[in-house]
Amino acid sequence: MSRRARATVGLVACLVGTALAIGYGAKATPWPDVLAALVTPDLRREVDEVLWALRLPRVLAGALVGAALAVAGGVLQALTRNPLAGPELTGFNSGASLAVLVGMLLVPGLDLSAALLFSFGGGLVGMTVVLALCAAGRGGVTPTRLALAGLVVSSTLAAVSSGLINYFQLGFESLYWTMGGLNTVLWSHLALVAGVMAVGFVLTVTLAASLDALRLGAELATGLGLATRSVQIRALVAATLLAGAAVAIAGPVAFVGLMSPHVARAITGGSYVRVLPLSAAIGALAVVWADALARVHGGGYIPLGVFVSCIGALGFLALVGRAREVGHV
Amino acid sequence: MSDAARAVTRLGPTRAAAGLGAFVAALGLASLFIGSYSVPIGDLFAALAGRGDPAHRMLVLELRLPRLLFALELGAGLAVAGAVMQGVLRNDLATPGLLGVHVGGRAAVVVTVALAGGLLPTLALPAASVVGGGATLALVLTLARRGGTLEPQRVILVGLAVSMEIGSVVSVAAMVLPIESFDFLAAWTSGSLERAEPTLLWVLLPWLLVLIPLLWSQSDRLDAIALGDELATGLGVPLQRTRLVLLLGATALSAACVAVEGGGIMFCGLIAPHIARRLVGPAHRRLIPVAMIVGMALILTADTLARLMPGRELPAGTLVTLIGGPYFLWLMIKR
Repeated sequence: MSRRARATVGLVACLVGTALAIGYGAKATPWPDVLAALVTPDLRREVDEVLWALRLPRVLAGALVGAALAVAGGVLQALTRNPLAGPELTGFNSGASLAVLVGMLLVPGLDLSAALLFSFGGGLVGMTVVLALCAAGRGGVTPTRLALAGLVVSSTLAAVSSGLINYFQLGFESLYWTMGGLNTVLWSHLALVAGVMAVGFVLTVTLAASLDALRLGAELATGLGLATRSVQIRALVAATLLAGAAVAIAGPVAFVGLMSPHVARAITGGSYVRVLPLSAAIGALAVVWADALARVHGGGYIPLGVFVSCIGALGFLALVGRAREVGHV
Repeated sequence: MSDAARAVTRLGPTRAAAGLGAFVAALGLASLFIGSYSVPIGDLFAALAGRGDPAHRMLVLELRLPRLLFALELGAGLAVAGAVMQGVLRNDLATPGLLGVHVGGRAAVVVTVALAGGLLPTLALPAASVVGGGATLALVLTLARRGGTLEPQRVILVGLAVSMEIGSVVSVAAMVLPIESFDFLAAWTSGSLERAEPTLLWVLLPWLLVLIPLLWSQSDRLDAIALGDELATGLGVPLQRTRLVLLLGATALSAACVAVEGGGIMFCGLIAPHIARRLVGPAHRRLIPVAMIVGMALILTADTLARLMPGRELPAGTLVTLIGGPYFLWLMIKR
């Protein structure tokens, strides 16, 4: 199969797999009923009510979050030329989620649009801290150092979060702040987040070919006639919008942003024009099914991030095994 | 650091130990009457002597004293395990917690409890934890080895990745547990010292009494290892066997702590040896006991502060992470 065909098949398979999660719930619903509820909704029927009010927004939110994190990961990997970059290991996720928590404590009843701003700001600060820490020592930003700094910054910020959660006696929702979850998604949240992400996705589409050049290194890219600085800034904006919106609604879900681009690269190889759409579909599949397992089997106790980590951490281990100290994407 | 500066920062070992010991004693005493309810100092001594107001006696003897002793035991065990692990791997970022021993030990304890239920005495839990922690450490060291060498930062990264994998699998597997066990597991792994029962103190004590002197007796060999493989062999140290014994000892020590505490205190084994090294230098004969006292002081401070926090009580492990995380990053940059 050509690379293009593999990308197409992979994309379709992931999208179909993602859609199947609509039929998966605590209460078994036959597919004809699910389809009937989707096509001719009648909210007086219990099946339709559950589907439209609870399951559908969660599945859509999961798909958006997964796709956004995956694309942000791919963009950050090209931007830093580092295979272990991703919203989780660059400190973006943990910075963003801590900032949203702080925002909610400072402004009671903080609405989602303001939470988004906190998320963007916190994510950028977290990322700056991790990259500055790596760049500060001798040896520069190697993959191992980045991952190590990212993990330790994340666990320190998580400790700050649990300190705040304890101090303000937040209850059960605290799981969301440590591992990520989609327990409280509403249609109104979804519209705003989808709008922000759409801007990020469109920006990334216009950048995909430039990102290929960027991965060769800034100097070479400039030599090839790329407006390197401008591409870098636009890429950073796109990654911030995508990952920031994802964290604002789902918390710091790890490994999706890091691993999806690598899986996509293994399937189709090469150009970001093919890799980014496929990794978006892979990310969507991963988050939607992790959340499906969380809502059906997790009993509200096990956040979706734990399910993602079961497979994600293995992939991360494989990446660490392959990463060379001087290696680039 | 110049020699002069070194002379200033390094106290004599006796004075360092005496100063730290006094600090631990004072803080320990303070921790007996600090808390959500404070006991008047006269009543405190009466209670310690077994007299006085029965309510105060219960509070001091059955709640606060066990907790104080628990903090001291854990601090000693985790710190000595960290000092030995750093020495034997020649890696100043290493500590059993970051190399997967804590999560591996925790997983083994959870599995043992789930399979054996109440049939198993608490006494057997450290053994399960040691097996799990040892197996995880072996896995981490095998995966991290490349071209016959263990690159320090890489070992830690592999340790963290393996920990995350095992940790998330344990969390998911815990879903099959009944809700009480689940709640217990969540509290047990949080790094809090709230659950300081006298049984746990006794279960951990023999491990400390055997392993700490044993590891301390290997100080000269640890010093030789610090000089490098060739020099150590030249000095007559059987490298393979010594390394194995020391790694096993350090693993067993920290895994035994994990069995009673849950593995939520990750950074004590990192920080305490570093502070001790600054105080008395790198020779293990002095480093190990001083690290032990520093570890006691660290956990005791963290636990006392945790109890003083307004709002719900903060787990001591969280406070240790708040100090340990930035400290780790600083160490990483410095090299």
